[in-house]
Amino acid sequence: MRDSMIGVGLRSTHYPHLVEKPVTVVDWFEAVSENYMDSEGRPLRILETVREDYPVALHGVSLSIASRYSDDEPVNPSYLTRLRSLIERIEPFLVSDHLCWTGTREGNIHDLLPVPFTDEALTWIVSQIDRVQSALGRTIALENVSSYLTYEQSVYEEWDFVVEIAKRSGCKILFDINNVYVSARNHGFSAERYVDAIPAAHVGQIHLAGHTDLGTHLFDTHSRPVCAEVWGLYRRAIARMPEVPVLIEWDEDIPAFERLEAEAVHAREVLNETVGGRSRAGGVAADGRAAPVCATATKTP
Amino acid sequence: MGLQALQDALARAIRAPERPDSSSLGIRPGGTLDADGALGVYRDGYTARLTEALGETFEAVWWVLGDEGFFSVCRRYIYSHPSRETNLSVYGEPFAAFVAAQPEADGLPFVGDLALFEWKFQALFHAPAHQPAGEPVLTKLTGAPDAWISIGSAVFLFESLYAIHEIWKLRKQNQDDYERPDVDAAARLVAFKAGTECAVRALSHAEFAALGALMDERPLSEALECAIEVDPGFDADAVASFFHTLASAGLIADVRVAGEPAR
Repeated sequence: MRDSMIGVGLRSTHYPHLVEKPVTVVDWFEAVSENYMDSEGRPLRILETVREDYPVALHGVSLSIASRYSDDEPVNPSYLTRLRSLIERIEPFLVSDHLCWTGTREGNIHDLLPVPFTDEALTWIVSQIDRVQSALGRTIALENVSSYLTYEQSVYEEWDFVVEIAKRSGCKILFDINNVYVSARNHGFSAERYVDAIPAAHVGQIHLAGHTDLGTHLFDTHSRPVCAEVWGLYRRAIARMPEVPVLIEWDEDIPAFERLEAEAVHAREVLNETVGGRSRAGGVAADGRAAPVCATATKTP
Repeated sequence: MGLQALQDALARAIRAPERPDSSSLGIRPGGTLDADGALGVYRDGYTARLTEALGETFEAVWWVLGDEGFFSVCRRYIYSHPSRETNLSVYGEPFAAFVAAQPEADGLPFVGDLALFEWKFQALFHAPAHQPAGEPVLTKLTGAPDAWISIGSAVFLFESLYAIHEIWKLRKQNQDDYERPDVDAAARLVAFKAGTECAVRALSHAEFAALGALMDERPLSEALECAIEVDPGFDADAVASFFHTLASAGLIADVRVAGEPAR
């Protein structure tokens, strides 16, 4: 086992580079589940090739955990079956998706739509997580999303809602610090307060990414380097959760792999500067097919 | 408003062709956006995401119609065909018939076939590859006219009155600098997966007929009769060339000779 913390997203732009099996500075890769679970094409072969050398996390965008379906048909069984099949094939160290809804029975919006922070939503989502975790036979992590609107009916602060979901369901939080910053700026709350409210023990992974200032609002584009303010929030978070695996996301205007690696190196430097010589015994194992789950990586020092 | 009612109302507002009244949705907009603007972020994202998905699948149709034409067709398609899948790459199954009936396709009679070919090609890309038969299996064909040849699963035939393959190959070309093909030249194609790569080959009329018969699980002798029926000049050399194509492209998954049990 190695002390292994910083990952990057696996993107098709970098396939030609990665199939050559270069030496990289990254410790693990995150793959978008839907890009591989419905295909037997070249992408899946590349994911398996990458998996030979690296731990992999699977990150979905279509679970739609918060979609309020009827009680007798609560989750998409076909989706879960296909996801489980991919999980068995890839043996990821973490399986995650988003704390959001992506559509209704009438159709899929293919976007990460924000949830009203109400008791009804809380109860429903916790029950859905229970169903999903039972179907997959493992704990999942859910990511806080960027949002451009909230709802008048919400009765919880977002961070309280996220923590309550994790506490009641036993799922992990995929803590996206860029999303915290984007939503804080858009909705006028304190990003620091949000970061401080998330208990380290519930966090299974951290995401870092860039966003775009459109003048009227911040937009979560994943098209730029991580900004200084988000690096600051990252320092604040990892001081309490130094063992959590960290991912650099870059999904639009994707640069050369070396540029992505530079961002990963910076994340590692910030981590080392922040936690100094403190033990980071957890992390992601690279040895063998089955890497340990992140539960081992979430103990506060 | 309950969670399901809220989601139904918001989803309808996002998918609506015309800007809806957002006042009843109980939205608190972010940034300096108003409620319509905040809803607009998701409305714009919806059409952009589905247009991008259609553009990835129907790349050659996009090339032919140009940005303005393709995006107009996509907008109408998206508003009339909500996505019901979790996977965006399978969005667009009825697009071929849809685009062929649009005014943007006037004077471009091949567009429907081109779109259908692209749809089948993306399905092939995601399909599992079959294991091509090796030399020991292929040698069973020697002197065995009653053999059955099993064609692999990662193969499809495509026939059109138009030069679909030539038009499709243009999709990576600069719009201002390309050699215009004779679009009215009929195309008979086989598309297949070799390893993780997909490829397309043009077939003669006779080869197309023979391969079609094999894919219908008819014996080799009947397949060759089909070839001769459409081209009486399909002689021994042509047969040898046909077998070479089948073997070199890895299209043959198995060979069974008379008396050998089916697998």
